[in-house]
Amino acid sequence: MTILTKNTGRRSLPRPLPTFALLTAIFSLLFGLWSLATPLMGAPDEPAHTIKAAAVVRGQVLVEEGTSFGHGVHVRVPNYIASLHAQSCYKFNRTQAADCTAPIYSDDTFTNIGVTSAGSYNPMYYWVVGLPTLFMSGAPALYAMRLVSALLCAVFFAAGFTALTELRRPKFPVLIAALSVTPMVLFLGGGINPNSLEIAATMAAFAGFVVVLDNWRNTKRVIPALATVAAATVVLANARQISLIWLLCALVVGVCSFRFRRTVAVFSDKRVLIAAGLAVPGAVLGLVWMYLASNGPANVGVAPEGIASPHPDAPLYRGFIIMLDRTYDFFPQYIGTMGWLDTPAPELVQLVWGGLMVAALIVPFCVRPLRHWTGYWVALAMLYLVPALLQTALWRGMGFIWQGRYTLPLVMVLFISVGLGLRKLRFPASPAAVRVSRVVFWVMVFCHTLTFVYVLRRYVVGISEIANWQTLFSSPHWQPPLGWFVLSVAYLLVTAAGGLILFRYLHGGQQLPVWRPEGKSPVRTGKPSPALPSTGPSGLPSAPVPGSPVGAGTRMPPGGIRAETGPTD
Amino acid sequence: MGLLSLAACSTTPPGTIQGALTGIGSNAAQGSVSAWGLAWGEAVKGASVSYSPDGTAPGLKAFQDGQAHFAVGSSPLPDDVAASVRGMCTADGAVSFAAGVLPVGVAIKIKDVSDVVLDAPVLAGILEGRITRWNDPRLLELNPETDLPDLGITVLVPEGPSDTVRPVNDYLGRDAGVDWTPATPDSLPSTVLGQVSSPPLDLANKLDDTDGGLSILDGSIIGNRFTAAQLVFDGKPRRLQATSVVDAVSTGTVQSSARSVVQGLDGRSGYALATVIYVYVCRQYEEPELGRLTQSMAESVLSEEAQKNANAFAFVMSPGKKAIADARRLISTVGGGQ
Repeated sequence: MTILTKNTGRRSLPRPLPTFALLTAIFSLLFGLWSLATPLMGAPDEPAHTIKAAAVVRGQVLVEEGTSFGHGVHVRVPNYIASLHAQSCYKFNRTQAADCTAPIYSDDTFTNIGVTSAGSYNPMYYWVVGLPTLFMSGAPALYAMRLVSALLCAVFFAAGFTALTELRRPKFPVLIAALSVTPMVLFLGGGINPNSLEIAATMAAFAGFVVVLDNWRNTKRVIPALATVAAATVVLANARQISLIWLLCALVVGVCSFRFRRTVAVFSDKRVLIAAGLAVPGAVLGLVWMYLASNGPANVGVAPEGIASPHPDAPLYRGFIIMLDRTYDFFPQYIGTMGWLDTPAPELVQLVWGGLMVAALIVPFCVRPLRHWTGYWVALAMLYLVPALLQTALWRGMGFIWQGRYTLPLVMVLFISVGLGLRKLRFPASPAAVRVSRVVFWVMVFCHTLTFVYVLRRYVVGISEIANWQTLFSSPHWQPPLGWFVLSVAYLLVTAAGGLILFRYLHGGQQLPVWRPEGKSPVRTGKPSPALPSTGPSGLPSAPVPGSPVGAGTRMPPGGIRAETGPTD
Repeated sequence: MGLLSLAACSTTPPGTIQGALTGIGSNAAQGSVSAWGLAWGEAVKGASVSYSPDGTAPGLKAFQDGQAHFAVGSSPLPDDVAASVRGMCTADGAVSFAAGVLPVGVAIKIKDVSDVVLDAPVLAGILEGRITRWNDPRLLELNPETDLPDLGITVLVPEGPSDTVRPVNDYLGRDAGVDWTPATPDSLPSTVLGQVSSPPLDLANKLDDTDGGLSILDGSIIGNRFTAAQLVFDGKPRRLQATSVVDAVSTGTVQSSARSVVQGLDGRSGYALATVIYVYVCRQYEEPELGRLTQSMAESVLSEEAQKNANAFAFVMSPGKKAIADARRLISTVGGGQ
């Protein structure tokens, strides 16, 4: 912990780079720990994506005639990968520990038929993630695939957060973005599924874009953010077909979060045009893939078993209405429904995050003028309408397939837009606010860790009606690499480190730990201590301090909270 | 500890049987293949089946093209076809065996009518539009104790190849006394009215909405949802009931050869309208591991547990004892068994 709190001295690199490096490390560790904690193929649809990745790196990029069937596309991959669907004995059954799975042998490499429902997906993600299977085999190769995927996601999350720190008055957006990284987001980042990259890249694209709009007069300051937008655009255009819709949503919300003339000005800026020029070929490649995929042999024509197949003559509007009706039913899945929709996060975690999410959704109604929240209103409308429209389009053919994790890119955009709107308020820095913040931070660290251990419990001994926590120690049935206890301790340390870094950033370098040497109060006023560095631990900068911080006793204006004239227009 | 277990998993112990098999075939067999797969997965750790119900003909083609480890169809493979199958098979070709019997019924939806008797000539007349109302004299003659309404008959039957149609064609071609010559054994003649291109469950939904409707559905879909007409076999009306189907199976003929085990149904002893589900597997696979794995699956399919599962989950009856015994002998030659 010491290394994370000591003064690292003057920075020698451009400011965003150490921030980016530190955040990449933090996210990589978090995703990596989830990778190890989740049994192989325990992430949703992981066999299909793993098989696809192994096929793509072996040159099977396009769906060939005669290889597409109702349950998916047939490819030729090593048998240990082709047989991954057999690792499903604990699927949908949280009382079943993961010890029912058979070992995955490294010498099981003869070429066999693998079935993937991701056959027509864009190959870009799979090209990268499948690489370890070319020089490794068996379970180690599969863990390596997960770690590559985790690193990809970590890079984009880190880029997105780094970009947010470049906003003027960045504290609220950074804080809310951090709170939006729910246990579900971290869990998904540990599996092989482009859904996780889609969430990370959408977040990065949105964060980078709003930073560019925020710095419209001097885009030279935010070249890393511009690069982030360009890279995320290419990735989203080449992730899943739905990803381009999330990119569009993110860009529209970004535009609506500022005055339109900024967008016009930004898109006549030379650097922005260069970034767009760099992104366009990648995006065009994605569109070309969509054309090829839509004109290839038919892919999945039968709704997967167990998913409701509606009456084909049912009016489409009914599907739309059902989705609208279920809008808030998906929130528990945003927070944490791990595994194959079989392991909801503990109730406490759902309560804490649910409370935070409701608070975030309500805040814009309390801070006036309401017209300053255009980005939020648009994002909220999208949360209602876009999943409903997409599911309606798929309803007759595929049945009711929507899951909360599909919407997570939009959810992150929505909550960050709340943070953008809150920039009109001064970030609370009173001693009481810091105390409350400290408690909330520890609660969040606890909730993240509790979810992690709870999910491990699900796989190690199974979740039973009786509280079988003690059997984790006394008779574990299954063990992840390194063992569940080591992983849990590591996860606690990493989340605590992440919380500490964020806390110091938000509170002018103050310490998160509640203990202090006797006689030294851990709580200070909002003014940063002269003894603390202007850069945070490992180079993470402290957030810019607004001109006149609101301290204890600042009075709310009459008629609710009224926004001050902020830096955004 | 976990790293040690990873390292320990680097080589496959001799005799290990595990992995996933991929099958394509009959839509009517979807339920039974799921039930069989469940039993196999419970019996053999790390074994699973991935099955796509694309139809008997696409299944056979996929099997021949090496796109499936096994296929499932509603008829046995003719010996010459079985011998010529390559795909994942060696030059020894393939074998097929009866693994289940799925009853097929004539489902009827008439308000306040719960029992109707049909014979082959009347059923053919209805399907071809020569009998258009439920109170037609020929129907009244077969159902003297049923108050059939003055209601039009709406035929809703599957268009194109369907595994449930094959036994209906056999029944009507044999007993209807009319020229019943479909283009293929698993599709209805073009003279049949009301052919609808819908999956079986959608067809059932349409029938549910149609007073006076008649359709051909498998027994698992009919269940208690529709009235299944009693059909006349050998001069006697037979009810679609598990016991009656089992009677027809148990006295049915079994023809066994070096490449197939074929189960027949005997209408003299029970309800004999059913799709016999056949599994096609290679005699020898190019990969010995696949041979062992497939043999394990085939043995499991014929096990008491799997057959019970299929009966409970999919209303699929077991083939007769002789067919099961002959099939076990046949699959002992699969993979490394020869």
